[in-house]
Amino acid sequence: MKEMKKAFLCFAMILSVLFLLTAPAAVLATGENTDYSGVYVWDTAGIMTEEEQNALQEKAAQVAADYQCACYIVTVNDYQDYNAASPYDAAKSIWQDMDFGYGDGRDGEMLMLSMNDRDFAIIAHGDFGNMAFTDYGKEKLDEVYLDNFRNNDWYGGFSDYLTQSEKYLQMARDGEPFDVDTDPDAKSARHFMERVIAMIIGLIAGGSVVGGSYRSMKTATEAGNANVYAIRGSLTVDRRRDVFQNRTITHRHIQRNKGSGGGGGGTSVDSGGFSGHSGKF
Amino acid sequence: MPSQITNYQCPACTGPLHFDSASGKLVCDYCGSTYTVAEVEEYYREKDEQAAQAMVQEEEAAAQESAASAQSGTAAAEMTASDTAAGESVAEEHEAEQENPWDADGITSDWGAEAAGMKAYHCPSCGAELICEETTAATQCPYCNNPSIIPGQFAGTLKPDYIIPFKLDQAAAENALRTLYKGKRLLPSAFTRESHIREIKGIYVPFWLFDGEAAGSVHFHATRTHTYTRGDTETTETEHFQVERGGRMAFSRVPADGAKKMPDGHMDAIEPFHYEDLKEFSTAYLPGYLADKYDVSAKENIPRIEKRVRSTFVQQIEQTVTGYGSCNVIRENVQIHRGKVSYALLPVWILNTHWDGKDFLFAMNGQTGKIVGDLPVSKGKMAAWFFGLAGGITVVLSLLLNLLF
Repeated sequence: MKEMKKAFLCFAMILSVLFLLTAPAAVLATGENTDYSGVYVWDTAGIMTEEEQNALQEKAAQVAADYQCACYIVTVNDYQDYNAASPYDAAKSIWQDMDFGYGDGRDGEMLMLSMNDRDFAIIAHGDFGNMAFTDYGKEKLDEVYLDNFRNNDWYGGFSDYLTQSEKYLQMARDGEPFDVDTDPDAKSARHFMERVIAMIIGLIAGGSVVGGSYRSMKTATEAGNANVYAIRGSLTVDRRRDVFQNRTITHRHIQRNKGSGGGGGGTSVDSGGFSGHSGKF
Repeated sequence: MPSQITNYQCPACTGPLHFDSASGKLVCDYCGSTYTVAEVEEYYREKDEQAAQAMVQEEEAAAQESAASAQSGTAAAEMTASDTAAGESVAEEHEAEQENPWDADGITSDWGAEAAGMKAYHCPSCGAELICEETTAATQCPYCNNPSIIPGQFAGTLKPDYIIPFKLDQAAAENALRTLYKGKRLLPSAFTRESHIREIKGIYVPFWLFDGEAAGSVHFHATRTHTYTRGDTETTETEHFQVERGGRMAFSRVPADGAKKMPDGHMDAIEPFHYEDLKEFSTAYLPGYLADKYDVSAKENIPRIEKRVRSTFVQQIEQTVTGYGSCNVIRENVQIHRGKVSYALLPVWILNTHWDGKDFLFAMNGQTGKIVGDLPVSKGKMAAWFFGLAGGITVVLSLLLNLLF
């Protein structure tokens, strides 16, 4: 762990020197005892300009101050440099090694880009952090920044990430964290679908009732059978033959819902207190 | 042409008798006396015998009279003074008519094609000439209102085997029609208010009753499905079978009307008739109602009957195919073994209404009271109900879904 931390700091230092080490985002520790608690932007991959880092750092600091929850931005060249099996694991390692998080609960969120293979990971930590950034919330967050990253618009993506995270934090503070049930877009889409379903049922029901009423207006119809005139008990069956012909087999893959959350909402937190996922951009 | 027409008269006061559906007896319209069908039949049997004897005697007397009048021809030509004066007056009228005659060129005794379907009778009560359809067997004189029977229509092979007497009267038919209108949400409001019963008549409609047996085999495609899950895979196994069932089934008295002017839909839809009320045919049941003899033969009705019988046989056979999830008929080979055909008169009330320039026909089973007919539909009401219901249900469901989810 110590080695990983050193490696990460080493990368950060080199890049910080390159960018003159003046912006808050680029201010990196020069020793083990340095306090990094106010630094939220760690561009070790050097993909943003100094101004961009400063702007993001300022915004992230404001968010942290307003909501007591830190939102980190980290870029690395290759997550495998941190001896991690996945970008998600690497992000967790960095968080723990750098002692990220706000306050005693270490509440916060971190978006990490690994530039070599264009991987990303987003994680949340702490009770408030995990409450504010639900699984569904983090998935929706992906949609906000991935389109920018795919176009190499790093600043735009991170800026959107901070803006959207601030909205999530506000909703969490109001007691309604952004989730499946509280997503305004999903809500309106769901309401639209509900209305469509209600309308279809209404049309079918209306059609059935009116159709039945129409049929009751036309009662003079020719008989199609002679059921009433069949002599009861006169049916005799003297030939029965049941021949098996063939068998057809069909398979269907069952889609199962991932994670917990009872009904699709909530946050799945692992034993280390983290939630999150990783992917490609 | 049947020359004889009978008017059942009360043995007590000679008033006209009519069959009363409530009591099942013949009732005199004037003195209120009632008679069973058997009593009237017996009375008229004796009366007919006496009439036949009287007719023979009358013919003999007439023959003797014509021989005598031939001998005294000149005496008959003599006229009295008053006769002469009357004769002159008639002669003057005749001359005036010749000078200024009525134009009678258009009057012809030729009835054309219509004559083929019409027949003329004389009412035995008032002597008026009744022009009836060829198939008419019981009618009512439009002048004296007396019910008249034309027994010759039911003579020999044309005689019905059975009859179900009317059980319900005209008031019941009118009530049934009013009930039919009730609760019909698509009926134009003006129809109930403005439509009037133009004509209501109780008719004994000729029906053929077919006995027979259906026999044959039916082939089905049947399936049996079994579903199980292993891991994330759901597997459905469907076994396909060719199933054959053969057998036979008997049918009794499947009815088909034998009257061209009665719509088949109406006559089928008022079924069933309860055959426990079938009586041996007697014209004594007819007074007070109209009756027709058949003009659609039993043979012409066979395809209609066989179609119904075949459908029921296949349905019943299909119900013997059990143990499968689905069962569909592939082909059928059904023969109908024809049995006895009976000829019966069954009671039907026919009601005609007129509204908005259109005629509406209703038929009521005169035994059970089942009434059928096609009612007009208000397009405005239909649209209002459809959109009202669809809209209402949509709103309620939307609110419910909002509350639940």
